[in-house]
Amino acid sequence: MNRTVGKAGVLGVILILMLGISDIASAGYGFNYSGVCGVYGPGEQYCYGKLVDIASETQDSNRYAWFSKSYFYGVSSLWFHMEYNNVSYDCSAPESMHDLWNSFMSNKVTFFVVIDTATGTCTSGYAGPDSSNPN
Amino acid sequence: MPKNLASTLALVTGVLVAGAAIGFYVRPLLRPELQTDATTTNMSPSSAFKRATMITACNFDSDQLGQLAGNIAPLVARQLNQLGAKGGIDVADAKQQQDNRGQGQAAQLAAYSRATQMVDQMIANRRVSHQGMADAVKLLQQSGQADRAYELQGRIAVAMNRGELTPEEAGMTLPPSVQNRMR
Repeated sequence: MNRTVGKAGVLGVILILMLGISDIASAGYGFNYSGVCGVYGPGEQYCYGKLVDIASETQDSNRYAWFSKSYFYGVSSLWFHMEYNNVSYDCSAPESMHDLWNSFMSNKVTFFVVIDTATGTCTSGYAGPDSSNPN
Repeated sequence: MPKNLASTLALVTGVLVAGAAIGFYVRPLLRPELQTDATTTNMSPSSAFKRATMITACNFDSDQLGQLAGNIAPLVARQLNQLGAKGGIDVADAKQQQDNRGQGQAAQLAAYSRATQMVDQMIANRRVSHQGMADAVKLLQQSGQADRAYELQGRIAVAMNRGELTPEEAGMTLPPSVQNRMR
Protein backbone atom coordinates (compact mmCIF):
# COMPACT_ATOMS: atom_id res chain seq x y z
CA MET A 1 0.00 0.00 0.00
CA ASN A 2 1.56 3.25 -0.99
CA ARG A 3 1.59 6.37 1.13
CA THR A 4 -1.35 8.10 -0.51
CA VAL A 5 -3.59 5.10 -0.18
CA GLY A 6 -2.58 4.84 3.46
CA LYS A 7 -3.49 8.46 4.11
CA ALA A 8 -6.89 8.09 2.52
CA GLY A 9 -7.47 4.86 4.36
CA VAL A 10 -6.75 6.52 7.70
CA LEU A 11 -9.17 9.31 6.84
CA GLY A 12 -11.78 6.74 5.96
CA VAL A 13 -11.33 4.90 9.23
CA ILE A 14 -11.52 8.20 11.08
CA LEU A 15 -14.82 8.91 9.40
CA ILE A 16 -16.15 5.52 10.32
CA LEU A 17 -15.15 6.08 13.92
CA MET A 18 -16.77 9.49 13.93
CA LEU A 19 -20.01 8.19 12.54
CA GLY A 20 -20.80 4.88 13.98
CA ILE A 21 -18.20 4.39 16.59
CA SER A 22 -19.71 0.96 16.89
CA ASP A 23 -21.79 -1.47 14.91
CA ILE A 24 -20.37 -0.57 11.53
CA ALA A 25 -22.73 -2.19 9.09
CA SER A 26 -21.04 -1.42 5.82
CA ALA A 27 -19.25 1.32 4.00
CA GLY A 28 -18.22 2.20 0.50
CA TYR A 29 -15.39 4.44 -0.48
CA GLY A 30 -12.98 5.10 -3.28
CA PHE A 31 -11.09 7.62 -5.29
CA ASN A 32 -12.69 9.11 -8.28
CA TYR A 33 -11.36 11.31 -11.01
CA SER A 34 -14.48 12.63 -12.65
CA GLY A 35 -16.18 13.62 -9.41
CA VAL A 36 -16.94 17.27 -8.83
CA CYS A 37 -18.28 19.37 -5.95
CA GLY A 38 -19.58 22.91 -6.18
CA VAL A 39 -22.38 25.35 -5.45
CA TYR A 40 -25.78 23.93 -6.38
CA GLY A 41 -28.03 26.77 -5.28
CA PRO A 42 -28.51 29.25 -2.45
CA GLY A 43 -27.26 27.49 0.66
CA GLU A 44 -26.66 24.27 -1.23
CA GLN A 45 -23.64 22.40 -2.47
CA TYR A 46 -23.48 19.34 -4.66
CA CYS A 47 -21.09 16.52 -5.27
CA TYR A 48 -21.30 13.95 -8.00
CA GLY A 49 -19.09 11.25 -9.33
CA LYS A 50 -18.53 7.54 -9.15
CA LEU A 51 -16.63 5.51 -6.66
CA VAL A 52 -13.81 3.47 -8.11
CA ASP A 53 -11.56 0.85 -6.75
CA ILE A 54 -9.49 1.95 -3.78
CA ALA A 55 -6.68 -0.30 -4.98
CA SER A 56 -6.05 1.83 -8.03
CA GLU A 57 -2.43 2.84 -8.33
CA THR A 58 -3.13 6.27 -9.81
CA GLN A 59 -5.50 7.68 -7.25
CA ASP A 60 -5.66 11.31 -6.23
CA SER A 61 -5.88 11.76 -2.48
CA ASN A 62 -7.56 15.12 -2.94
CA ARG A 63 -10.45 13.57 -4.81
CA TYR A 64 -12.07 10.75 -3.00
CA ALA A 65 -15.55 10.03 -1.78
CA TRP A 66 -16.97 8.03 1.02
CA PHE A 67 -20.41 6.69 1.86
CA SER A 68 -21.11 4.94 5.12
CA LYS A 69 -24.09 3.19 6.60
CA SER A 70 -23.82 2.43 10.24
CA TYR A 71 -25.59 2.66 13.56
CA PHE A 72 -25.15 5.69 15.71
CA TYR A 73 -25.94 4.54 19.23
CA GLY A 74 -28.79 2.44 17.99
CA VAL A 75 -29.93 4.91 15.38
CA SER A 76 -29.32 4.24 11.71
CA SER A 77 -26.76 6.64 10.31
CA LEU A 78 -25.98 7.53 6.73
CA TRP A 79 -23.00 9.71 6.00
CA PHE A 80 -21.38 11.14 2.89
CA HIS A 81 -17.89 12.59 2.71
CA MET A 82 -15.97 13.80 -0.29
CA GLU A 83 -12.61 15.49 -0.65
CA TYR A 84 -12.40 17.76 -3.62
CA ASN A 85 -9.46 20.09 -4.18
CA ASN A 86 -8.50 20.03 -0.52
CA VAL A 87 -12.02 20.91 0.64
CA SER A 88 -14.17 18.53 2.66
CA TYR A 89 -17.83 18.03 1.83
CA ASP A 90 -19.74 16.19 4.55
CA CYS A 91 -23.40 15.56 5.19
CA SER A 92 -25.61 13.16 7.09
CA ALA A 93 -28.70 11.71 5.46
CA PRO A 94 -32.12 10.75 6.79
CA GLU A 95 -33.22 7.13 6.93
CA SER A 96 -35.47 7.72 3.93
CA MET A 97 -32.34 7.72 1.77
CA HIS A 98 -31.26 4.28 2.98
CA ASP A 99 -31.89 2.49 -0.32
CA LEU A 100 -30.14 5.23 -2.23
CA TRP A 101 -27.09 4.81 0.00
CA ASN A 102 -27.02 1.13 -0.85
CA SER A 103 -26.86 2.10 -4.52
CA PHE A 104 -24.12 4.67 -3.92
CA MET A 105 -22.06 2.17 -1.98
CA SER A 106 -22.23 -0.40 -4.73
CA ASN A 107 -19.45 1.42 -6.62
CA LYS A 108 -21.44 0.86 -9.79
CA VAL A 109 -23.53 3.97 -10.07
CA THR A 110 -22.96 7.66 -10.43
CA PHE A 111 -23.89 9.51 -7.30
CA PHE A 112 -25.27 13.01 -7.04
CA VAL A 113 -25.69 14.42 -3.55
CA VAL A 114 -27.02 17.83 -2.54
CA ILE A 115 -25.83 19.24 0.77
CA ASP A 116 -27.72 21.81 2.81
CA THR A 117 -24.84 23.95 3.99
CA ALA A 118 -26.82 25.34 6.93
CA THR A 119 -27.83 22.00 8.43
CA GLY A 120 -25.11 19.70 7.11
CA THR A 121 -27.74 17.26 5.91
CA CYS A 122 -27.96 15.56 2.55
CA THR A 123 -31.21 16.93 1.17
CA SER A 124 -31.41 14.86 -1.97
CA GLY A 125 -29.56 12.26 -3.91
CA TYR A 126 -29.57 10.72 -7.33
CA ALA A 127 -28.05 7.53 -8.64
CA GLY A 128 -27.39 7.23 -12.34
CA PRO A 129 -26.02 4.39 -14.43
CA ASP A 130 -23.09 6.30 -15.82
CA SER A 131 -20.79 9.15 -14.88
CA SER A 132 -22.51 11.83 -16.93
CA ASN A 133 -23.63 14.94 -15.11
CA PRO A 134 -27.34 14.57 -14.32
CA ASN A 135 -27.72 18.34 -14.66
CA MET B 1 -77.28 58.56 -47.62
CA PRO B 2 -79.18 59.09 -44.33
CA LYS B 3 -81.02 55.90 -45.05
CA ASN B 4 -77.76 54.07 -45.54
CA LEU B 5 -76.37 55.59 -42.36
CA ALA B 6 -79.41 54.51 -40.40
CA SER B 7 -79.13 51.02 -41.82
CA THR B 8 -75.47 50.86 -40.92
CA LEU B 9 -76.16 52.06 -37.38
CA ALA B 10 -78.94 49.55 -37.01
CA LEU B 11 -76.68 46.78 -38.22
CA VAL B 12 -73.85 47.76 -35.87
CA THR B 13 -76.25 48.03 -32.95
CA GLY B 14 -77.73 44.69 -33.77
CA VAL B 15 -74.32 43.05 -33.89
CA LEU B 16 -73.36 44.60 -30.55
CA VAL B 17 -76.60 43.52 -28.89
CA ALA B 18 -76.30 40.05 -30.31
CA GLY B 19 -72.68 39.83 -29.13
CA ALA B 20 -73.63 40.95 -25.65
CA ALA B 21 -76.45 38.47 -25.52
CA ILE B 22 -74.20 35.65 -26.65
CA GLY B 23 -71.59 36.66 -24.11
CA PHE B 24 -74.12 36.78 -21.30
CA TYR B 25 -76.09 33.64 -22.01
CA VAL B 26 -73.93 31.37 -24.09
CA ARG B 27 -70.44 31.79 -22.58
CA PRO B 28 -71.39 30.40 -19.15
CA LEU B 29 -72.84 27.40 -20.90
CA LEU B 30 -69.55 26.83 -22.69
CA ARG B 31 -67.53 27.37 -19.50
CA PRO B 32 -69.35 25.77 -16.57
CA GLU B 33 -66.90 27.19 -14.02
CA LEU B 34 -68.25 30.64 -14.80
CA GLN B 35 -71.77 29.70 -13.82
CA THR B 36 -72.94 30.90 -10.44
CA ASP B 37 -74.66 28.54 -8.09
CA ALA B 38 -77.90 30.12 -7.10
CA THR B 39 -78.17 27.96 -4.01
CA THR B 40 -74.79 29.20 -2.84
CA THR B 41 -75.17 32.84 -3.68
CA ASN B 42 -78.59 33.01 -2.16
CA MET B 43 -77.46 31.32 1.03
CA SER B 44 -76.14 33.39 3.91
CA PRO B 45 -72.68 32.42 5.27
CA SER B 46 -74.17 31.12 8.50
CA SER B 47 -76.69 29.02 6.63
CA ALA B 48 -74.00 27.65 4.36
CA PHE B 49 -71.90 26.77 7.42
CA LYS B 50 -74.87 25.15 9.08
CA ARG B 51 -75.61 23.14 5.98
CA ALA B 52 -71.99 22.07 5.58
CA THR B 53 -71.59 21.09 9.22
CA MET B 54 -74.83 19.15 9.19
CA ILE B 55 -73.71 17.25 6.14
CA THR B 56 -70.36 16.63 7.79
CA ALA B 57 -71.93 15.54 11.05
CA CYS B 58 -74.24 13.16 9.29
CA ASN B 59 -71.37 11.51 7.48
CA PHE B 60 -69.35 10.64 10.60
CA ASP B 61 -70.09 7.93 13.08
CA SER B 62 -69.38 8.35 16.78
CA ASP B 63 -65.85 6.87 16.58
CA GLN B 64 -64.94 9.19 13.77
CA LEU B 65 -66.39 12.10 15.68
CA GLY B 66 -64.21 11.11 18.63
CA GLN B 67 -61.13 11.26 16.43
CA LEU B 68 -62.31 14.51 14.93
CA ALA B 69 -62.71 15.95 18.39
CA GLY B 70 -58.96 16.00 18.90
CA ASN B 71 -58.42 18.06 15.79
CA ILE B 72 -61.00 20.79 16.08
CA ALA B 73 -61.34 23.74 18.38
CA PRO B 74 -63.66 23.27 21.38
CA LEU B 75 -65.76 26.14 20.09
CA VAL B 76 -66.35 24.30 16.82
CA ALA B 77 -67.11 21.11 18.74
CA ARG B 78 -69.73 22.94 20.76
CA GLN B 79 -71.22 24.40 17.62
CA LEU B 80 -71.38 20.99 15.96
CA ASN B 81 -73.17 19.67 19.01
CA GLN B 82 -75.65 22.53 18.81
CA LEU B 83 -76.21 21.66 15.19
CA GLY B 84 -77.08 18.13 16.14
CA ALA B 85 -74.02 16.07 15.30
CA LYS B 86 -74.86 12.39 15.64
CA GLY B 87 -73.71 11.07 19.01
CA GLY B 88 -72.33 14.44 19.95
CA ILE B 89 -68.73 15.47 20.53
CA ASP B 90 -67.20 15.39 23.98
CA VAL B 91 -65.94 18.97 24.19
CA ALA B 92 -63.90 18.31 27.33
CA ASP B 93 -62.26 15.32 25.70
CA ALA B 94 -61.53 17.37 22.60
CA LYS B 95 -59.83 20.02 24.71
CA GLN B 96 -57.90 17.38 26.66
CA GLN B 97 -56.69 15.73 23.47
CA GLN B 98 -55.47 19.04 22.15
CA ASP B 99 -53.81 19.96 25.42
CA ASN B 100 -52.01 16.62 25.48
CA ARG B 101 -50.86 17.06 21.92
CA GLY B 102 -49.69 20.57 22.63
CA GLN B 103 -47.73 19.39 25.64
CA GLY B 104 -46.22 16.55 23.61
CA GLN B 105 -45.10 18.93 20.91
CA ALA B 106 -43.65 21.32 23.46
CA ALA B 107 -41.76 18.45 25.09
CA GLN B 108 -40.38 17.35 21.72
CA LEU B 109 -39.35 20.88 20.90
CA ALA B 110 -37.60 21.25 24.24
CA ALA B 111 -35.81 17.91 23.87
CA TYR B 112 -34.63 18.74 20.37
CA SER B 113 -33.50 22.19 21.44
CA ARG B 114 -31.58 20.71 24.39
CA ALA B 115 -29.97 18.05 22.18
CA THR B 116 -28.79 20.60 19.62
CA GLN B 117 -27.47 22.83 22.40
CA MET B 118 -25.43 19.92 23.72
CA VAL B 119 -23.95 19.23 20.29
CA ASP B 120 -23.32 22.91 19.56
CA GLN B 121 -21.60 23.31 22.92
CA MET B 122 -19.31 20.39 22.16
CA ILE B 123 -18.51 21.88 18.77
CA ALA B 124 -17.85 25.29 20.34
CA ASN B 125 -15.53 23.64 22.85
CA ARG B 126 -13.92 21.83 19.92
CA ARG B 127 -14.36 18.60 21.74
CA VAL B 128 -17.15 16.29 20.61
CA SER B 129 -17.29 13.29 22.90
CA HIS B 130 -18.92 9.98 22.19
CA GLN B 131 -20.76 10.15 25.48
CA GLY B 132 -22.03 13.64 24.73
CA MET B 133 -23.37 12.58 21.37
CA ALA B 134 -24.95 9.49 22.90
CA ASP B 135 -26.69 11.67 25.50
CA ALA B 136 -27.96 14.03 22.81
CA VAL B 137 -29.29 11.17 20.70
CA LYS B 138 -30.90 9.67 23.78
CA LEU B 139 -32.86 12.88 24.33
CA LEU B 140 -34.27 12.56 20.84
CA GLN B 141 -35.05 8.88 21.30
CA GLN B 142 -36.85 9.48 24.57
CA SER B 143 -39.02 12.16 23.00
CA GLY B 144 -39.90 10.01 20.00
CA GLN B 145 -37.61 11.82 17.60
CA ALA B 146 -34.97 9.18 16.94
CA ASP B 147 -35.41 9.77 13.22
CA ARG B 148 -33.95 13.26 13.66
CA ALA B 149 -30.60 12.03 14.98
CA TYR B 150 -29.09 12.63 11.56
CA GLU B 151 -29.71 16.32 12.09
CA LEU B 152 -27.38 16.27 15.08
CA GLN B 153 -24.71 14.66 12.94
CA GLY B 154 -25.41 17.30 10.33
CA ARG B 155 -24.32 19.97 12.79
CA ILE B 156 -20.97 18.23 13.06
CA ALA B 157 -20.79 18.05 9.27
CA VAL B 158 -21.39 21.80 9.05
CA ALA B 159 -18.59 22.48 11.52
CA MET B 160 -16.24 20.20 9.60
CA ASN B 161 -17.18 21.73 6.25
CA ARG B 162 -16.45 25.16 7.65
CA GLY B 163 -13.14 24.01 9.02
CA GLU B 164 -14.30 24.77 12.55
CA LEU B 165 -13.79 21.24 13.73
CA THR B 166 -11.05 18.79 12.96
CA PRO B 167 -11.55 15.03 13.07
CA GLU B 168 -9.47 14.91 16.21
CA GLU B 169 -11.57 17.59 17.89
CA ALA B 170 -14.63 15.60 16.96
CA GLY B 171 -13.33 12.98 19.34
CA MET B 172 -12.07 10.62 16.71
CA THR B 173 -9.26 8.47 17.91
CA LEU B 174 -7.99 5.39 16.23
CA PRO B 175 -7.91 2.31 18.43
CA PRO B 176 -4.46 0.65 18.62
CA SER B 177 -5.60 -2.31 16.54
CA VAL B 178 -6.63 -0.05 13.69
CA GLN B 179 -3.48 2.05 14.00
CA ASN B 180 -1.37 -1.07 13.69
CA ARG B 181 -3.33 -2.19 10.67
CA MET B 182 -2.77 1.11 8.91
CA ARG B 183 1.00 1.06 9.37
